[in-house]
Amino acid sequence: MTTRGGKRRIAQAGRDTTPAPDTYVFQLFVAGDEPNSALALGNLVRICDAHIAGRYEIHTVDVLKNADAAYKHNVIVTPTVILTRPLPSVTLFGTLRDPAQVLAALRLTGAR
Amino acid sequence: MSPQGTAHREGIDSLTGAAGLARALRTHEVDAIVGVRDIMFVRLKQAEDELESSRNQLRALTAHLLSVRDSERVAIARELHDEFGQALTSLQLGLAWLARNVKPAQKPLLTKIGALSDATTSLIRSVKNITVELRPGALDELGLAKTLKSSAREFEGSAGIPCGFRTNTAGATFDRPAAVAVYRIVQAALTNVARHARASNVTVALMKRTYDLVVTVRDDGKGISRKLIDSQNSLGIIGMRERTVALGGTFTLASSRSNGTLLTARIPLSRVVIGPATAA
Ligand SMILES: Nc1ncnc2c1ncn2[C@@H]1O[C@H](COP(=O)(O)OP(=O)(O)OP(=O)(O)O)[C@@H](O)[C@H]1O
Ligand SMILES: [Mg+2]
Repeated sequence: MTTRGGKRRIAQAGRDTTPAPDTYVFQLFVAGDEPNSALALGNLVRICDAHIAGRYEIHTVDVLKNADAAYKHNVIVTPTVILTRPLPSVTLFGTLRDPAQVLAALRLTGAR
Repeated sequence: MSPQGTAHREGIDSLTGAAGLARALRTHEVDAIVGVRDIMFVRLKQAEDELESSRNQLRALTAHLLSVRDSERVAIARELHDEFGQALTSLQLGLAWLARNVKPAQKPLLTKIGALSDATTSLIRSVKNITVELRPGALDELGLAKTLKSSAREFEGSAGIPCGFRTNTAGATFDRPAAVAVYRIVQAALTNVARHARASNVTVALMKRTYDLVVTVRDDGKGISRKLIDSQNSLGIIGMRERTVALGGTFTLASSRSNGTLLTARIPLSRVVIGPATAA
C-alpha cells in the first residue's frame, strides 16, 4: 500500500487511533487481494482524495485474517465499506465504481 | 426534491441495504461471502470471463485453421495442376513420339507404349478430378447458385436420390470465402445424406432473406440423434458449424425419426457481400 503526500492515513485493523473531530472514518472489509476488494479500496481512496483529502482514515479489515471483526460488524460479503464517523453510520456494498452514487450515499456531495 | 437530494437517494438506494447488496451480487462486485463458519470466494465473473475468452480463442483458432486449410487446398490444387499436370502431359507427348518412331522390328514395344499412354491418360484425368475437388473452380466460373445446382444434379446421379434445388439468388455473386463455406457445407451435408440418411428425397435451398443468407439441406431419411449431433466425434458436423460460425452465422440441425433431417446455416448478409447483380 503506497501513501501519497502524507494526506491519506490508512490504518490497519485493530490499531486504535483517535481521529480528529472532522475526520471521516471508514472500515473497509476486504478478502485478501481479491479483485473486487482491491477495486473497492482504490475507488474509495480516489474519491476521498478528491473530496475530503487529509480528512479521512480507511481501516482495512481482511476478513480472511480477521473473521471476528466481520461477524461483529455483521459483514456478510466483501467488499463492504462502513462509514463509522461522522454518525449516522452508512454501509455500502460492492466496488464503489460510481463516484456520484458513493458521494451521495456517504453524504459527501458538495463536501469539498 | 433538489438535484442533490435526488442523487443522494439514488446513491443510498443502489449501494446500501438489501438493494445495495443485491445489486453488488448481481453485478459481480462481490468477491467473498462471509459465512458463520467459513468464507466462500465468489469468482463467478472471473470464471465467466475466462470461459468466454477461451471460447473466443477456440473460435478464432478454428476459423484460422479452416482458412489455412482452404488456402492450402488452393495451393495444392495449383501445384497439382501446374506441375504434375504439365509433367503428365509431356510424358503423354513423349509416349506418342515414341509410338510414332518405333521401328517395325520393335513392334512388341508398341503394346507396352499404348498401355503406358492409357495409364498416363487416366492419371491426367484423376489429377484433374482431384484439382476440381480441392479447388471448386466452378464456384468462380458459375457462381454459387449454379454450382450448388450442379452439385445437386451430381448427387442425384451418384446417390440415386432425387435432389431438388431452390434459390432466389440467381445471378448473384458472393464473397469467395462465404461461397466456399456454403459450398463445402452443402457438400458435407449431401455426403452425409448419401452415407447415413437412407432418404428418398433431398432438397437444397439457398435463400436470401432480409438480413441473412440461409442455406438449408432437408432430407426425409432416418434422422440423427441429438447425441450424435452434439458428439465431439461428429467432425463433419462440427466442421459445418464452425464454418458457419466463422462467418458470424448460426448453424442448426433439426431432426426426427419421422421427418428426417433439416440442416440450416444462416450467415449475416453483411458477411456474404452479395454482388450488384442482386441489387434488385
Ligand atoms: N442426414 C443425416 N441423416 C441421418 N444421420 C446423419 C445425417 N447426417 C449425419 N448423420 C449421423 O451423424 C453422424 C455424424 O456426422 P458427421 O458428418 O459429423 O460424421 P461422418 O459423416 O460419420 O464422418 P465425416 O463427415 O467426418 O466423414 C454420422 O455418423 C451419422 O450417423
Ligand atoms: Mg459427414
